Amino acid sequence: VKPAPFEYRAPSSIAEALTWLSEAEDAVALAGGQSLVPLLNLRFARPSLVVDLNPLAELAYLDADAGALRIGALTRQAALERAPAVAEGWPLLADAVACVGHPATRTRGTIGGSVAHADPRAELPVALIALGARFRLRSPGGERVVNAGEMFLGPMRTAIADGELLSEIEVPAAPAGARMAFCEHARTHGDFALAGAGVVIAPGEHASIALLGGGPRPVRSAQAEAALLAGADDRRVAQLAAAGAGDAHRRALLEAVVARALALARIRGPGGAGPRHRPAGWISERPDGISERAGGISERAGGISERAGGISEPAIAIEVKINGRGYSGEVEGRTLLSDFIRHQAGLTGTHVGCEHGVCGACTVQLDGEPVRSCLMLAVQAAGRSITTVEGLAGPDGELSELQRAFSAHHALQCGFCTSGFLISADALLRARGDRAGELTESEVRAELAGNLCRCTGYQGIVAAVLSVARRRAAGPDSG
Amino acid sequence: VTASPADGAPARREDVRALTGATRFLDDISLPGTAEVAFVRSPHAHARIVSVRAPAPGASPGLVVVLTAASLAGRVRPFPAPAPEGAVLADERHPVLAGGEVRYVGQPVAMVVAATRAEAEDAAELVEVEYEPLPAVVDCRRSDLALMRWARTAGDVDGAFAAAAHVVRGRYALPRLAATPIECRGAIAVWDADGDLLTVWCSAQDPHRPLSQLGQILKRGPDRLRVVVPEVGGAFGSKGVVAPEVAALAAGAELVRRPLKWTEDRFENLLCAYQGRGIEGDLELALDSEGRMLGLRADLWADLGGYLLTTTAVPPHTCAMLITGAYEIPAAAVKVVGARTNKVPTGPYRGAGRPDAAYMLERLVDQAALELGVDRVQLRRRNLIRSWPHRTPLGFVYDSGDYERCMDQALALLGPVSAFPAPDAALGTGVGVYVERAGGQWESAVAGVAPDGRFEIRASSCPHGQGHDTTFAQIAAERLLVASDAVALRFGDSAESPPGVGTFGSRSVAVAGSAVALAADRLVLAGRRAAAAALGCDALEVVHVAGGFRRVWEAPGELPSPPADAPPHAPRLGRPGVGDRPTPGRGADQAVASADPGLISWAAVAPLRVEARFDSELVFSSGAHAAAVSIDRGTGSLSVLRIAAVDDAGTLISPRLAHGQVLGGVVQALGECLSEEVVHDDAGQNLSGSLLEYALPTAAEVPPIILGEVSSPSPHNPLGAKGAGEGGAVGALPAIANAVADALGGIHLDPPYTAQKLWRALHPEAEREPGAPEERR
Repeated sequence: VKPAPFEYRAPSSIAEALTWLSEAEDAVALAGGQSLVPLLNLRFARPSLVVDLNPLAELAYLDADAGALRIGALTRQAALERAPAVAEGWPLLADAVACVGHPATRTRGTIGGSVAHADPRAELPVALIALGARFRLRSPGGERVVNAGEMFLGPMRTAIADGELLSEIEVPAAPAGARMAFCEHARTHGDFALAGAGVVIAPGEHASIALLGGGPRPVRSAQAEAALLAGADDRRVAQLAAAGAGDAHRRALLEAVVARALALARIRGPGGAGPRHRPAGWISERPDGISERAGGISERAGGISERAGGISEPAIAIEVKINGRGYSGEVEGRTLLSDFIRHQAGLTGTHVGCEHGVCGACTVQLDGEPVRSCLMLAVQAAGRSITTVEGLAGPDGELSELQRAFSAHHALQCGFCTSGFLISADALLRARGDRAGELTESEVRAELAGNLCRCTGYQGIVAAVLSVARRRAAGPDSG
Repeated sequence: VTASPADGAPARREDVRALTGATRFLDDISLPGTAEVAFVRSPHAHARIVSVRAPAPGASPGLVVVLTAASLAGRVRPFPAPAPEGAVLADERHPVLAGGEVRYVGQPVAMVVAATRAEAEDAAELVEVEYEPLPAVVDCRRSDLALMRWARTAGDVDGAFAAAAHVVRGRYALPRLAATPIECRGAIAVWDADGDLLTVWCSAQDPHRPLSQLGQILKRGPDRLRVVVPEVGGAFGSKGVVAPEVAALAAGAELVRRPLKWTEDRFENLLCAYQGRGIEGDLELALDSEGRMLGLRADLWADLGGYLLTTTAVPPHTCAMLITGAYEIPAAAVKVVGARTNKVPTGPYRGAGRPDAAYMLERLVDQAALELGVDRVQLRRRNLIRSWPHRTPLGFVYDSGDYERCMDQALALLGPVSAFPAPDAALGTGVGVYVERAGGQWESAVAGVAPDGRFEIRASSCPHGQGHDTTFAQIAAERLLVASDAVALRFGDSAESPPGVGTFGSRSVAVAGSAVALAADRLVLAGRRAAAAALGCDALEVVHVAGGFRRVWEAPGELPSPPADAPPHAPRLGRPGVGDRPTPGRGADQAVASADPGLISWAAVAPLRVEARFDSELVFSSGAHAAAVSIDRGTGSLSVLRIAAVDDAGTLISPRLAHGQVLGGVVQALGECLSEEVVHDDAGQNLSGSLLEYALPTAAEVPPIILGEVSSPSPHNPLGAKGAGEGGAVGALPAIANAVADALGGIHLDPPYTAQKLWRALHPEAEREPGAPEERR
């Protein structure tokens, strides 16, 4: 599947983005792209104009200095996940963001994008509702603020009006002594949740319980909150929270996740110390996955071709550094990065297995971070630096330690998923650095759950990654 | 997980290519001037096509042409569909492109050719097809047409049931599954007008079946058709029959006169690639008062879809023939109805009928133990087959095995259930014993040595991830007394491959590996003869040693001795009388002669080239798997805690590769139990169209898997090999299913064991609630 043609534009300011978005009725704003690009690929979304917000670095920030947490809409999920201030002050948010997709989708996916997309199965809207977040919307005429309870209107529907752009999310400081957690139930690791709950408790003072899967949009349960404040036991609170769901099993799931979240919040204690909902995901020293765009885009003069649908789409000349070497080429706005790497740069070691971001075969590193190349437009990689499987071996062709371990542990059969696994595992090990040796088997399994293998049963892959992690811990001399 | 050697040398010859991204898969091949295609597909499960209106070339950028059934009229025939032995098939064969009628959602109606895939998809939106919707059949028991019928009664079944102290009944169903290789299907077709040669690069399991299928569809002999199979990113049965899209592409290449390429995307793959399983059964088992099995009746219903593809009828036939499993059951009556439904056809998917049979029978045996109040293991022990060869009532001859030992080992490896802590969970354990049909038919190989002393083996069987290159090189190298590195393997190109049948059904090592062994033996014989000529003596006086040949009395050390692990019965080596001779020693003569004047090197006798064909009896792998599961009472969520898998694939050539096959198969069975299921709604729409709906297991869902090993060599081939490709997927399914039923106190449920299904079983009171809607995931 390939997207229908559209015009691609990269604004240099929020004002410019707003102007462009109001120009065409079917224009869309592209943030992290982890939900929008699959819809483009499937042609379920068919905008004539795509306005890429990613160049707007001023929208990517996390600021917890003034007590509240201010999150720029373009902040990556990975940045939220890695921020110590979030883990300490709003551990519920850290829990929830770790449940969103996989490491290679969180490096691109944004907080604002998740809110604006308003998928009823998404974790972040629920977490933000539980925390009483406020949403700042910009429009050419100015800005307004929408409160948590008024933001989400239904599946894929929010209070964001045409011509408005979500610019910031403000999460108030938690009440003193508040304990909080988020838990969910999903079929497989990283899959969309069937049920989830975010809870905040400050005994006698504050109670908040927000539900995922309790209806067509994230909602708080006033009844359960009142019971919790009145001192009801967790089981009763969980029952009340789940009571609104129509299906008996759905109620059981909601009860279970509410009870788990309450229990986790209580053991955890105030201030976010204590256990996480699941092993901390991606951890990196880098502050954020966003790097300055190196201005690698130029419009080719005279390269405009008239399309069937009446949409004129200029060919765009881009330059991308792959494995240390520069590749230039002309792409359409709709050209996927995976297709550019494979068919224009000719680096066919990166494989395409689903074009909707689930299988992980196409994973590459973008400035060192794992990303799905099928969920990025080629033009978005202009001026950036990419590592593919072809770049993992040494300059003399000597296999890396990880590549050798894959072979030694029989971690590959047909080899089609292998490049995605190597890229993901390499990024994981490098991000953990000196602490790679602390990786447990279940952590490795969770971190690699965004890559699917149909041949090996994963056992050799997990063993290979663990063996390299252990050796790194033991130091370079031991192995 | 089995022990791994220290990280060092690559475990397989294939590995370095794959680890560096150098492997060439179908979509990695790019020919100049290629046009790409997209398909216009039916949105209806059943409809009459009233009209197809295609845009003119020029109506859309890059558009070359739109081809329909009318464009291909006279050039293509429907898919060949031979009947499995004893089966009666309806003449309802899959067409290349739909003409007057569509019978499933996604059926290809028109092929749009354009400069790029994106432009082909653009133009496909402009093709207007008018449909007149017709009623759709989705339940195979409500179908009005059998595409396939098969029935067999053997032994005194009625007498067995009349004499029975107990009759136990069960109704079982396995949903449709998507094979989901990570590489989808695809092909490139090029027509060369000069020689009227059509070349098709195809992501397939082997070149032979595409060659035969396309040959029949396109009416082209092998002299005018060449099939090349590049490296393949997994198949699991789903690439054994060419896609109708590939047939359209091949026919179109001749019309369009430029290379055409189709790279299937995941949505096409989930919608239109033939699916697996989709079978139901009503079974009855007669037992005497001692718990001895007297007879079995099985009525099987297979949901075959809208048409017959070439192997659509095979899995239900295999299921029927294996329905008596690993037990001594003297009488059996089996009936199969392969129903036409308005869904994509089914076909082989890992196990291809074997897991189906093992699942139904092993659930029934547990049910019998429950009803008779006897221990599940004891009931099996009382009835397991204990001597081989064993002829089943339905007519299979099991060659070898030790089923009880497999079962005992699996149970021992699983350990006691008390080993698993379980707060608020229902615990269960289960065991499944299975017999797997493998081998059969034939394969061939060509072995040669070049003047530079390098060996080349051309094998008819070609890999799609299994590691043939490594395994076949090892088989040949051991016989040639050389290092594996000295042996190059070639496969996959019908223009140069020796003829064969194909890579499927766990048959590569036993059949094609035996052909490689035979070819290597014949090359040694040819080398001895050539050396004898050079030495001026009789070939009988020449022995094969490391590095070449020498006269027998000059050979240092002793003559090569017969292999220590020779099969118990004399092997039957291929077609009799064509140069057969005793196999040389596998324990290689260690004498290395360097610059030895008495040594006639391989280079000195080169070039030599020999062929061998190996005809194989059916061989029967077997095994037992055991599983422990835990079901969360609050959510119904299933955790598989541990799986022990003991597979008897005879003599293993590459134990690590064979174990890799078992692990992969076990995890496919795990996915089948946890989440995998193709769901169709009442109108026949596929609700599992993406990997978000069709959820595959990830690394995070996989429990510890402990492998055991029992080896009963097959007497039917020189390697003593059976098959390892499917056992993992066959044994783990009934083991987990029985563990789930055990955890539920005997309540039977069919997979997948979703949280919702299990929770409802644990909370029957919730079922009575009014208005509880059935949830679709």
